[in-house]
Amino acid sequence: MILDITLMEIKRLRKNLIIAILAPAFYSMLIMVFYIAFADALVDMVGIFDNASLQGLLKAFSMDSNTFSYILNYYVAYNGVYMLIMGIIFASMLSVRLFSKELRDGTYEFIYSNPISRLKVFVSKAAVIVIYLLVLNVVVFLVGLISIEALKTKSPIFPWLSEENIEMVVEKVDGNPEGLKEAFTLDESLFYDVMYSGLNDQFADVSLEDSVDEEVVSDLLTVFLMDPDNIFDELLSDSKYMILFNIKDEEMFRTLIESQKENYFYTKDHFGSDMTIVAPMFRSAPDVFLKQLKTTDQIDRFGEVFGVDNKSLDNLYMYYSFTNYLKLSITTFWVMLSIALFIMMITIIVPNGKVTSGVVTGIAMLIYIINMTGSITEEAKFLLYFSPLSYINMDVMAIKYQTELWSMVVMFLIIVISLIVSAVSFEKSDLIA
Amino acid sequence: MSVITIENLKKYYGKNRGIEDITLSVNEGDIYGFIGPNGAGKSTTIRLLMNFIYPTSGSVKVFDKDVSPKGEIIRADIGYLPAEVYYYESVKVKDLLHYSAKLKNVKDLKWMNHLIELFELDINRKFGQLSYGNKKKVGIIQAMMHHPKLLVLDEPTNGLDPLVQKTLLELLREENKNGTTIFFSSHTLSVVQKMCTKIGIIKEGKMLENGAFDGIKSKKLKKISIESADMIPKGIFDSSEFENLMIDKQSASFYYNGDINDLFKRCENLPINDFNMHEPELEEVFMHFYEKEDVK
Repeated sequence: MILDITLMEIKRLRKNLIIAILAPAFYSMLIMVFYIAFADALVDMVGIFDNASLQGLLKAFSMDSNTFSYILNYYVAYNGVYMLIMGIIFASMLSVRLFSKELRDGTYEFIYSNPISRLKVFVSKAAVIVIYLLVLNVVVFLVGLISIEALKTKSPIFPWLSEENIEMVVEKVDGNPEGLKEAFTLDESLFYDVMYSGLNDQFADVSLEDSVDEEVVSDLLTVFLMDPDNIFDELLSDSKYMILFNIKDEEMFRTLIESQKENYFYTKDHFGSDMTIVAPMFRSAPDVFLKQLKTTDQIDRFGEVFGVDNKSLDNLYMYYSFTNYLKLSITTFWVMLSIALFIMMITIIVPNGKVTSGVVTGIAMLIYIINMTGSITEEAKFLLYFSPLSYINMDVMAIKYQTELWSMVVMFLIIVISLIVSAVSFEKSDLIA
Repeated sequence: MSVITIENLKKYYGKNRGIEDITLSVNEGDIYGFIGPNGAGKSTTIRLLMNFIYPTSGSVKVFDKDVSPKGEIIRADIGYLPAEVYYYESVKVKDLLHYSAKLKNVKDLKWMNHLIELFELDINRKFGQLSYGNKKKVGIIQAMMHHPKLLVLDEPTNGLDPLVQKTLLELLREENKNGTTIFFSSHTLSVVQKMCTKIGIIKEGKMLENGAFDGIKSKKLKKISIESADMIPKGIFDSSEFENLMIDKQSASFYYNGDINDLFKRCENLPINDFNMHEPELEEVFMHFYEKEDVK
């Protein structure tokens, strides 16, 4: 009986439903097709980040210049929030059609004169919203997936640095250290990147201590990015850096830095030739080495040199992570569902079917504006707690990509509370416009 | 057995009155006419009966069960026709009726198909394309397809052409013979006169009358208006058969419940231009009759 009502609601609203599914799907497809044009421009844009201080900034956020041009990043940037808003607005208009407009049009008498409880009617109608959002998200997921698969070769390749992959690579390299020479371009630039990564790791813990001013660390890193070879002179020039090494005695500090400087230049001189020096460096920062390989030719040569089979290579170098895409899509569905059911609750608890499509669109836009305001300024950041739109993790290239547990719990509570309040209000209210 | 029992029912929409105090009862086999002017609270009472809305105070029982917790079970035996039939415009009549049959758990569609034929309804059109009268037919079939024990009809004959009205009234009478209790509101005196065994009169949310209809039935009341070429002399219509008499120079209007031949005799010497006689609106009559009661 519940199914009969659900099917009838879908039947009578079929035109609205088809538009509400095709419009977002078409939008998504169009945006993805634009990636063909954008991809090149985005790669050009990467040039901006050659500036040392900007690179420092990027690295501080554990990004690199490719972050903006990966296809999945593009997908999230241009699809994420807009798709959410579209889905929420369409679902809210559906709530209006299902609940308040039925009162205003007088069609409710048709159902409620039959031997069926209001709870069953409510469940059947709420099911239409859930089914709509499910179908919408599956369609949008598939459209996105097909577009990404079709266009992914335009995207930079990304070394997927999961623990298993790193373990596998380190093992292969240990087996054939001399291969490093062939597989990678062991130039100054790579050397500096490895050193930078080492410095970063070294000071990551130190800078967490209260006694150390974060500026001291960032000053040092900036100096390194401008002129790496100058870093030791910089360290000796200012006693403020002593705290970073936890040394009080100036003479000891000087001795330490001098020996490190000697070590540094020795390593730099032998970087291209002595693999007994390079191999440990690879072990400590495999990500820096692996990121050097960007074309399929380079990656294939790496595979050949170290005897990595194609399947493992495909797992190591990817255009995007399917798992992350799936997780992103599921979170998007949850956010849409929670806001859509919240707005459904409003259409039900406001008496006499007074909530119109204009009102629900306004509410959806308000949530969007709250999200925008919260994202722009630091002072208004607290607003983001009120906007489930911000619960989506945009860092889709992260190895351990996930939505925070608390936000999932909040969304789950919104869904449950909205459903309970709606059902009770629907049962107890007068059906009259 | 009492089919509908309404006791001291009161409903307010915020500060606005729906009904003030309604008490009535309908027994099994009754055809109950529920009468009152617009805004008196007829629709509110029917909505309360169907549990579309909840009472402010008082109780509504159908088949001796309270309608608000037991609505689902009770409605299995009720057929309801709203005053204005609004169903889903974009859906075919056929689909609407089959949908109704599913919700009412009607397995055997013979009777439904018989009704469709009886009312000559084109079920392959979309509901939104139907005329007012045809929409009403869909409502009637919807209300009757499951042989309900109680029919609740809000203005059933309104908007139907005379032939269809006749078909409907015959059908209702037949169902009543088979044991169906009928509760309906109407404006048309002839329908109430022909059909009802019992009436309830409602004004401004209060019951004025609830009982047998014999007193009203015996009155063959007509509403008459006359246009004359000459001035109509005063005193010409002075008799107890004339009520609500209004004379203005060459025209007169009144309710008449006497012998028509007597009336013609009184008008013998009057040059008549126009003579108009019709059945008065039902509430007009009742409001006239119950004006005094209303004062108290």
